[in-house]
This record gives sequence, structure tokens and C-alpha cells, in this order.
Amino acid sequence: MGVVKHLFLGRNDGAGADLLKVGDTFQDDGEDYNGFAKSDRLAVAGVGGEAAYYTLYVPVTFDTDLTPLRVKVYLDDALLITRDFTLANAADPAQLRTVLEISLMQKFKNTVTGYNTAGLFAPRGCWFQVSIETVFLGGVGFVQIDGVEVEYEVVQEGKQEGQNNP
Amino acid sequence: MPRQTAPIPFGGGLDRDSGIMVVDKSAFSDIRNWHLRYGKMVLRGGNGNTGATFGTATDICGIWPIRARAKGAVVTYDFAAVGNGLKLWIVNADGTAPVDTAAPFFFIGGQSVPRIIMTDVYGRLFIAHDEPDISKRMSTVVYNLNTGAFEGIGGLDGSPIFRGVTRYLSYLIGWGYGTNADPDRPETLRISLPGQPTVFDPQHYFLVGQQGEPVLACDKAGQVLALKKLSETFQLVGYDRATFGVQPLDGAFGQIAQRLSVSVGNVNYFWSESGPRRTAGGESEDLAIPLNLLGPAPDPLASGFDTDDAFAYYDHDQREVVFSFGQWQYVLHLSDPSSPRWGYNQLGVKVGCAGTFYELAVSTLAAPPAIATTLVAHTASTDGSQTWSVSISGTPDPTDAVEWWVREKVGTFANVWVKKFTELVASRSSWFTTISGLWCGEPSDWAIRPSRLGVPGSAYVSADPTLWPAATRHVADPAAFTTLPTPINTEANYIDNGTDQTLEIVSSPFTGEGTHIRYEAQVSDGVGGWDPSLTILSFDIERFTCDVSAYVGLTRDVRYRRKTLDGLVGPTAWVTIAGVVFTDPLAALITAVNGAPGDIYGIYIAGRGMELDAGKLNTWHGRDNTGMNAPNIFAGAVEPPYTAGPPRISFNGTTEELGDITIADNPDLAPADQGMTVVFCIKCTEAGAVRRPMIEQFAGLKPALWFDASGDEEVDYGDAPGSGADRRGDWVILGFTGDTSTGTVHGYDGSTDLGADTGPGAPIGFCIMNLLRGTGGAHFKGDLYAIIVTRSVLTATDLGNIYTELSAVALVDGITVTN
Repeated sequence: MGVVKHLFLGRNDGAGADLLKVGDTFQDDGEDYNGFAKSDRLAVAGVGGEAAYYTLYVPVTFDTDLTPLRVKVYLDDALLITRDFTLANAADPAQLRTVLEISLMQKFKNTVTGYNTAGLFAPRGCWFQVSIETVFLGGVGFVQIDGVEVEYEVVQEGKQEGQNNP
Repeated sequence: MPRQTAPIPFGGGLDRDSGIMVVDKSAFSDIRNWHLRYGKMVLRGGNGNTGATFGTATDICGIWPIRARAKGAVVTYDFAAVGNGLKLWIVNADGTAPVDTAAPFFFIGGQSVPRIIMTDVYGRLFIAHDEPDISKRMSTVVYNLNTGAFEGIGGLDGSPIFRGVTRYLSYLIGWGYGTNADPDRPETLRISLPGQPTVFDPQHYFLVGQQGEPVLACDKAGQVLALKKLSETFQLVGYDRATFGVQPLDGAFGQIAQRLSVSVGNVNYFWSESGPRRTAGGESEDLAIPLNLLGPAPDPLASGFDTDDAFAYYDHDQREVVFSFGQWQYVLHLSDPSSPRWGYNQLGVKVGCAGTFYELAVSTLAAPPAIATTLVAHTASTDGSQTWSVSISGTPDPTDAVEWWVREKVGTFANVWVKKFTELVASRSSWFTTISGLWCGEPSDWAIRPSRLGVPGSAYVSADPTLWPAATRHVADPAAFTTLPTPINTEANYIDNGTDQTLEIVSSPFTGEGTHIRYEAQVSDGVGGWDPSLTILSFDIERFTCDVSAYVGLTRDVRYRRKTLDGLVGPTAWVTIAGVVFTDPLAALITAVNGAPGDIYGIYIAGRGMELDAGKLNTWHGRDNTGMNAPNIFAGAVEPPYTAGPPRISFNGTTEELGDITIADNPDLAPADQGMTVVFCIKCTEAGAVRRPMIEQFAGLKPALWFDASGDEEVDYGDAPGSGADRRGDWVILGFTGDTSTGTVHGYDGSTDLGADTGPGAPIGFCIMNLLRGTGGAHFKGDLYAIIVTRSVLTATDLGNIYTELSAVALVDGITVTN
């Protein structure tokens, strides 16, 4: 058995001498906080290239309820899609793993068939970006984001390939 | 171009410095409150209030572990206090139960929260006040962790007013204080006497760098103590007064605030004017580049804080170095030390200090038991067990136990004392204990001793039980044997496979260790004596086979006995089996079946495997209880390894069944003579009044041969159940024939024809039969010994012959057929 150790922080704002145990709950001395992560910009077709994005996959491992986990998609810093997911596992202490799937398809109106759909088109020079955040609505437990994967199709390669082209 | 997927690994950490055209795709422009892992990230836990109360204090300004006592020191500040704003509390390692040391420091309230620097050396806690203005700085406080008293520091011409303290080797290092006459010497570094942290030699000091430029922090880095000023770093080299010296370490970088550094192993992480850096005792290395600290602030919290109040700490569990600025933290994730990555923490409240407390794995030694043990006597059984009589003197505690130690003569632990098991005394004064699993027939030494929570009695502490009190052991006791059991319930099976003629002798089972058991067997010479011992071909604990090829066709007595491999015990008395016939009854059975007009499709006898046309029966496809085509007829049931009793396959009555015999699955089962016959030897063990079909027409249509509610086997012609004898629990031989040309079926109880039926109207067709499978979910429960299948309709005479010969074969295997 290893040594049991506890990391403490001391509250230091004149509001009370509260000794805080790190990692003990999911509030900071009763105050809410949220996880936030925003990926860097991605240009799958290279700099100046054009691409269409179809689906975003977000694998998540969790052991409690989390309402909601919010996923956002940006093109050139413009927020295009916001999706809230409910992770429900309050009754089961075992960790669950699920893959959140977000369609990036868009609906277009046409005069012949009514509507058709197409992937999220990133015209020349557009940068793709994803953010994930928790929105605190109560106590949560273990939440792990196992990565993100985006399905795409290159329409036209850029003339100069950026290093963030996968 | 086809669709592709691009992974965006999380946990890559911040990269705010690189341009968007060259940034790594796993990098993040912003990441807050996550622990970074390899390609993933985990939401950080919160900082929960322990609930410990510290009087009227308004802030916590110092946390320091007291590892030797599994405690923690907490310094609090009361803004409203007059003259006694600071207090020292000792808390449990889990942060609970604060105890006021009841000696408030002199520190005037109403000021900004003081910055505290602490260290503990040789049982004393040193508390320094990190205040640049020495006129406002509190004298260094010493708290004796052993006596609970506050002490002074001697050797100097007054009480030192260090700006900071740390421990290094066996010394206390204090800095920022000159002398009583000239206290404001911020470049001064003082070193205590070795092992005496409260005593200083006035002459043992160093002036670090330029006069008046303060030393801000002293941290262990590699093999030196890094002495950091604002814009440069020096090092204290050496290991004692004779070798100590101060030399430059890094002329370009220092540390901007006293508490903004932390050492992890030999590496010191600190915040310089250019941001975070690290050093292992040489020139420091930049860590700040991904943070782009000169760029736009990631959050207002990151730019609205006095760096003098910032501090750094290390989170051992998450492997993170944290630079904390109020509610904003820069987190350096070291889960991959070769590739540190940055993230942010955004706290819900402002914090001002950190510390890790350690709990000790303190074990409370139990007092030795006050009882004495006596190993009185034993009785041995024939199954590798011994039963000992034990007595106790004295009054036992509820936690008192008796340890059983044994030294056997064979096996893996031969001649080694081994603690066999422990049993609680449970207020008993005497009792019997049975120890099983011993080497049958072997001598062994025994000893017992009292213990309490693993602590032995005072007279029993030796690791050698022969040194314990004599009454508690039996060593070299000729009576301390387990008895080599003389075989009983013996059966002898003569087997002639056409090549070898062997006799298999099966004896009574026993449960002890028996791999050292051997056998010896002889055959009577027919004139009152015995021939030399037979050659033993194979053996295990309970059975052996020997070569009897010289006695084929004869009827002779056979005797055998057990002995042990090492010869320490036995052999046992001879066991004689009279009148063993060296003729294989199976051959007669095969002859009987072949003598009938049928065409043998196969014979299966448990323990002997597939006899005759083994190839066919081995590919005899059945259906398991889900209706699927199983690779062999036994589906879920298996023939168990030999334990006791006759060989057989057991069916559990719920999930196991014998597969169907269908022509669809077995094309070569097509009848040679317009029909089919199935004979089997079986024992039903169903206890309840439940119909258990034995044989039925395929698809569950009658007619069927089954045990009715009264245990009577009969062919169901649609009439009322019969009133015959209850066959459950008895081995019986039953038969069933079906004629495809007439649709007539017959059931046979032994050799007795139970009568005919024409079935459900249409001819049976191809005599498709469903064996040992119940309708409506009912399954046969019991044992199967043998099956015989022919591709023709046998007569009652044929069934009678088969009954006779199969009964003889079964008898060899210890089965007495009763019908």
C-alpha cells in the first residue's frame, strides 16, 4: 500500500479560512467551475484548400450524470453548430464509454426535390475548430474525453500544405 | 478523393505561440480545468472544503506537511484581529481536527494577507514572513513539534528576521537577514549548525550577488541549492561548512516571487521575468513558449493578480506543476516528462497557498496472547486427513487464534515447517480440529501456537516450532501418520482392444495428496499360489491398469495392494478380487448386436468411448438444446473425469441433452432395413413428478418412451400413464424401434416389449428420433451409460440378447441393471 497523501489549498480572499482538499468534489469551495477545451484550427485540405466535413465523433468515458456536455464547431472562428449531450450514469458506479456523434451535414433547399443535404463546406482558407465544455448543473464525477475525430472529404488541395493537415 | 477522418487527439496541451499554419493539430488554443493524458483528458476534481474550522480566521496563508507525525501545519490570518492576526494550527493529515497551538504570533491585523514560508527540520517547524520591508517583517517563528512549545533561535545577536527559510542537507537555511545591528541585508544567506537548526554561527553566512538585491528563493536543483534573485541565480555548492561556497548558476534568469517555485525530484520549476523555466542545477530552460504570455491574456483572471502573492506547488497524483495566481493557474502536465504540456485551471475561489499532507501506515502492534496451547492427541483417517485434539489454558481474547504448523516428509515443502492455517479460539478451551489434504500414509511433524493479530505468544516467537513448548508440538511422533487407505469397493475390468489385454482395477477414492501412491498386483497361479507381480502399465491415485495378456481366456483370482513411492509407509494388506474373467464382455455384446439382422450404426459406452464404427459415432451430429447442429451428440453434457462410481454422462435436467439423431444431419443413417433401433442404459434421477421423455419421435410427437409421473417407463400411446415400478434411481436398459414402412414403433423395457403403436397416423418416415430431450422445455435428468444405434428394426429376441450382453458389460463397470 502506498502512502496516502492529500493535497490542500488554502482559501485566501478574506471570505473564510477554508482548507480545501484538491480533487475532493466537483465544486471549488461551493463555487461552480467548468471544463473547457478548444482545439487549435485545422485545415485538412492544406492552407487555401477546400474541404467538406461530414461527422464529428467524440468518445467520452464517464461514471456519473453530466448535463450537458456541450460540443461546438467553428469555421473561421464563427460558431456554426452547438450540440448538448446528456451523459447519464448516476445509477451505475462503473465507467461507461460512449461515442457522441455529431452530424455536420447541412440541409439546402432546392426547387426540384425540396431539400438535399451536403457536408459542411469549408471554402478556401476556412479553418475548422472544435470546443468541448461542461456546463455545470450539479455534481458530476469522472468525465474523460478520449479524443475527437472528424470525417471529411478534400474537395481541392491547398497549394501550400500546412503542418496541421493530417 | 474519398472521405477520410482526421483525429484530433486531446491532451496535447496549449500552443498559443505557433502560427495557425504550423501549429500541431493536437494542440489547443484554450484548455481549462482538464488533466491532460496521452491523447485524452480528464475533468479535474474540485477543491472541496474539509470543513475544518480555524476560529475567526479569514484566510489561510501557509500549509506545510509534518511528515514524521502524519500531521499538517496550517497558518491562518485574521484580518480583524489586533496584535494576534496569525495562528498556527496542527491538523490531521486528512485536513481535519485542527488544534490551535494557542500561541498567536505578533502580527497586526488589518493588513494584506501575509505571505508565509515554512519548513520543518529536526522536529521543528520554522515560519518566516515573506515581507520585503524588514520593518514590517515578523520575526522567524520556531515551533517544536515534539514539545508543542515555541522556541527561539540562538547564536546570533538577536532573533533573526528571515524573509525565507528552507532545509538543505542537515541544515536550516535562512535568508534576508543580516544582524541585529544591520538586519536589512536581503542578499545574506545564513546557515545553521549541522543538526542544530535553531543555532547559528554568526560567521557562517554568504553574501549572494550584489548587496541590497534580495535573495527571493532557495530551492534544491540537481546537486546544488539554487539561490534565486529577481534576474539571476546563484548556487550553493558543497555539503558542509568547509566545502560550502556560493557561485553563479544562471546570469540571465531569476525568480520573480518568493513562492513561485517548486522542486520535483532534482528539477526546480520556477517563474522568471520571462515566464516559467526549469533547471536541474545548470542553466535554466524556457517552458513559457507555448503560453505566449506576451499575447492577449486568455482570461481576465490571468492578468489581474499580484505576482508577489502567487505560489507554485506540485500535484503528485496528477503529475502537474501548478503556478497559481489567485483564481488562475498555469498547469504544467508532466505525465510525459519528456514532453511537458500546458493547460489552465480556472478556480472557483482565490487560493493563496498549498501543501501536501501524508498519512502514515501506522500499525498498532497487538499485545501477544496470554494463552498457552497444548496439542493433545490425534486420530488419522484414511483420506489424507488428521484430527487433533487441542486444549487451551488461560482466558482467550476474542482476537486470539491458533496457528497450525506442519512439517511433512514429501511434497514441495518436504521437511520444511509450513503454517497450514489459522483458526480463532473463539472462547473455547478444547476442541478437535481436522486437517485434510495431507499426504496419505506419510508421517509429519505438528505444532501449534497461540497468536493475536499475527503476534505470537511470548513463548512461541521462534521461527523454529521445535523450540516452542513441548506440549504444543508432536515431532517425530510415530503416531502422527495419516493412514494409507486399504482399497475397497474394488472393480476389475478386463479389456481386450485386439492388441493389448489389460486389467483395469478401480478402487475406492480418497481425498488426500496421493501422487506418491503406487500399486502392486498379482494373479493366482491356479494351484494355490500367486504368480509374480504384473506389469503396471498406468496408474493414478485410485486406479491402475496392468498387463494380463498371459491370462486371456482364463478365470483367476487377482490381488493387489497400495504402497507409497518412498516406501515410508505400507504396503497395505492385499485385496483379493475373486474369479476375474479374462474375457471382454464387450466382444460378446458386439457379437450379439451383429447377430441381429440390424446393421450397427454405433455403440457408445461411457468410460470406453466409441466402440465399433467409432468414425460414424464421432461424426454423429446432434442438436443442442437451442436446436443448433452440435459437433457431437453430447451437446452440452460432458462425461466427467473419473471421481467415484461408474463411468457415465450426467445430464442436469435443464440445459443439457443428447442431440437428435436425424438423417438430415447424418446421411449414412439412412435405414438399411426400413427402420432404426436405439437401445440405451440409463438412470433417471428426477425427483419430482415430471415427465422426462427418454426417446420420442422427432418434433415431440408421440409415441414416446418416457418416465411417467410415477417413475414408470412406458411407451406413450396416448393412454393413461402406466402403473409399473418406479424406476427412478435404477439403472435400466430401454429400447425403441421404429419401422418406416409401417409407421409402427415399439418400446422395450429391458427385453420386454411394451407394445406397439402406429404413431400419429403417418408413417414415422425415416425413424427420426429425438433422444433424451423433453418436450415443452423438459429435459432428462440423470446418468447415461451406453447407447446402441442400429439402422434396422430389431426383434424382441434381438433386444433380449442385447439386454443380456449390455448388462454384463455394465456390471464390469460397476453398474447393476435392474430391469
